[in-house]
Amino acid sequence: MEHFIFDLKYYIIPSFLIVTLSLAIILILNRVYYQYNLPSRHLIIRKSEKFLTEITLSKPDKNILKYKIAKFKSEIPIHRTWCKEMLIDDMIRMKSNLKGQTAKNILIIYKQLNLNHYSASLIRDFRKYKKCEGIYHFQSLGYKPGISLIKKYLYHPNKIIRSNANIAYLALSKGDWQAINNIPVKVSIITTIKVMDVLHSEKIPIPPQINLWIESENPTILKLAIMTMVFYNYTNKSAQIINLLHHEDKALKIDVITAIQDLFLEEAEDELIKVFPTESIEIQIEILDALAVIGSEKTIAFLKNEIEKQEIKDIKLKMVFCLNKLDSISLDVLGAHDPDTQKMINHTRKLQL
Amino acid sequence: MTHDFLYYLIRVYDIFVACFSIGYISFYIFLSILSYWAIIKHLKYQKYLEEEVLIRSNHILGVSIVAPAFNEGVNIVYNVKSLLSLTYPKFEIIIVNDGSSDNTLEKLITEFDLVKIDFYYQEKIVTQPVRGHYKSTNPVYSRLLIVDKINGKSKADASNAGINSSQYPLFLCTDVDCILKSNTILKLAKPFMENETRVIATGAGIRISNSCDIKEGFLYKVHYPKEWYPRFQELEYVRSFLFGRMAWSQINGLLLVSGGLGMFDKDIVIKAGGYWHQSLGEDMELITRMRKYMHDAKEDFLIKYIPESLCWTEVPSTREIFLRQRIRWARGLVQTLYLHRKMFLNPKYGRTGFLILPFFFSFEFLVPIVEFTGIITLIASFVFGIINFQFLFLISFLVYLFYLSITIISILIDEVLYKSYASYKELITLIGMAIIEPFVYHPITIYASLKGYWHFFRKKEQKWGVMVRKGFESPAKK
Repeated sequence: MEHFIFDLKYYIIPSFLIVTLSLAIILILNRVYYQYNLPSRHLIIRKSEKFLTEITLSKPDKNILKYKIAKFKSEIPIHRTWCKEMLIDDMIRMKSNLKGQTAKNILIIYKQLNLNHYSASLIRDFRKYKKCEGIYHFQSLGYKPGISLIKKYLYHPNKIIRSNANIAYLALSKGDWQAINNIPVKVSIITTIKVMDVLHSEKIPIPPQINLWIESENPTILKLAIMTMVFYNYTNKSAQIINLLHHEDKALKIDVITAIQDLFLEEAEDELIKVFPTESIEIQIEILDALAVIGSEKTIAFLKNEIEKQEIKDIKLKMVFCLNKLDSISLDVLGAHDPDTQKMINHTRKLQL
Repeated sequence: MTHDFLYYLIRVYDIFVACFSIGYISFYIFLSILSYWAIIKHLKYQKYLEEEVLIRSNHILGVSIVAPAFNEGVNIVYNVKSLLSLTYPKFEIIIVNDGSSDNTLEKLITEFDLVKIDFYYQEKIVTQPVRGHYKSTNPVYSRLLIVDKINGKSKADASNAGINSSQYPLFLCTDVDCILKSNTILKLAKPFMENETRVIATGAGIRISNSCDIKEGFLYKVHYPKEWYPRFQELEYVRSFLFGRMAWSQINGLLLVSGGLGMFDKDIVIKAGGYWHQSLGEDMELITRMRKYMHDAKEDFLIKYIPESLCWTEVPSTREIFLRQRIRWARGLVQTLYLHRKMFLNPKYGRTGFLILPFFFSFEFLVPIVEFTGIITLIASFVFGIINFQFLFLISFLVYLFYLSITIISILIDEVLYKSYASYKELITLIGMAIIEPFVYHPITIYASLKGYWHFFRKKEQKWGVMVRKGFESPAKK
């Protein structure tokens, strides 16, 4: 006990005391330093914004541009990381709002300020998140010479780096899908969202291999193929799309049904009605959404028969919604015989005031 | 003989407390490392997906905001306008008028051009009867849906009616008077889309709005609270949200997503039975039940926490209201632990049964009891003359320093990442509050916890009570 009290008194408590006091001092000094630097930092931020706006919109010739950039460099602490990041963020923000030559000017400034070297150093950094940041810089600023560096990460074992590198590569190469066969079997919604965004923002032409993708055994490639076909309104492979209604992957099936709806594949009506009874509630609801768009007399007959006997309220409500779109008069007849159906009709019609 | 017996009893208690404290301190050191790691990971992987890309997408998940309102007539119009201003491509706002006896519904009808509609209400979770649904005839307010129901004497019942009326797969549960940051929905919905494993709930930091400049439901400037109770609670919130919950999120061990701000997978919530209207800690109880459901269904799941302050809420500023709230929380904790006692150390429930619930039992539920029995033991030791004053002083000082360092680390993380406070003076005040907290504030929270436990074990009738709010004050009035 005496020994423990001795340790407490002379080692443990003093150590804790030093740690606590140090933390408090660091906390306050950090804030004081931040507040002290804030005015000059704001000044530099304003100066940078002014410079970037002027230079991108004024179309100066090469020599004047060089001179202005050199002058600007001497006025800001460009060697500081925060300053580089601030400039890159500003450039990305401006580039996303500009088009044509003015957008290209930003890329020139990016190179002239040697910020491309900074982004490359981030990609080469051992930390994964730094790599992602560097890749993001290249992609957002459309820095095509960065392709060679990004290419090394297309098959990286880390899925986030691999995903970012592939998307950036796709954007910068304007449609080279060379890494697609390496896409994992399971991807998040986010990866597909990112691919679609790149297709949209970079105006990438339809991939020539799209007809092969739809034959793939990898559900992710199939998903990508379907979404790409919807994006380009490509209906040449409608039979293959419809055939995927029998695929075992539930998420893929939902994408297929959405594609049928978006591509107005009326020829899918029979197949949708056929698979309907064997599907889960979630997929049945998706099917009804699609039938509301592509349905014909067959769907009307199917719904008139099904609404009466349907016991699951969510599905019945969706059927009412569907029939209301296709044949509201027949729906009124059904409603007259069944108060529950009538309530659903009222709900469907009055919810969208 | 009695003296000897008591002496040995106290010694046994000493050993228990020593082991307990070592466990407690070790676990908190572990949590602090996890928390730091989780925050860094969150911040650095922001570039995984830009939020603008998500907003532009057609594949984004729809979100229903569910906000129960009971006698909120004074501010309801501002509250709804504030919610309507949120940025997200696909969302609806469901205000549940929980049988207000004031003019809440009338104000809503007048301000937003509401008319009663034929809404096909499906009671997937049983609630008090719903009197009707209202929609606006003005297209500007097309996102708004009002549910008018009979008062169910709990926020849980009102929230359940909102969930039953919602149309999207995700819902965000909040209090109608909470002020949300404009990108709150996006921030909370993002984890549902970026993870391959199913995310069933997300939460984020809540801060105190008591002294902030708020005008017509919009937050103009954040200020450190001026009153004592909110100041201590600010300290508690920073510590709990940034420190504890981030750490638990990192190991997928979150048992609490705050009732003030949480997003949920509607399908799982309904399958788990929704909020339990008799619970006094319905937010924690729901998460526990959702975890149980997912374990029973043998499905992998995640509950994620975002280390950003997305919501500002008014907290109790008087002792009476504060005590009432904390008594209810304590009672909610013990109620949830008791209700789900079969999950404890049950292999079927994995880390929920072997780590999370035992932690909550040992280091949340037991702490007030250990502290209280500690005081009794001290008195007994003093009476029997077996107290070692030097050791008592040293060990108490060590525990105090440990607590203080944990609190300052939390403030430091917050400061380095977010700079939430206006000046270093506010930080010094916060450190000052941290120094006095164990002597001034902590005993009150212990008292409230013990009283909550007592009420639970005595099966005292449970009441929610009314949180008296000051409402929004315009900056001009200050």
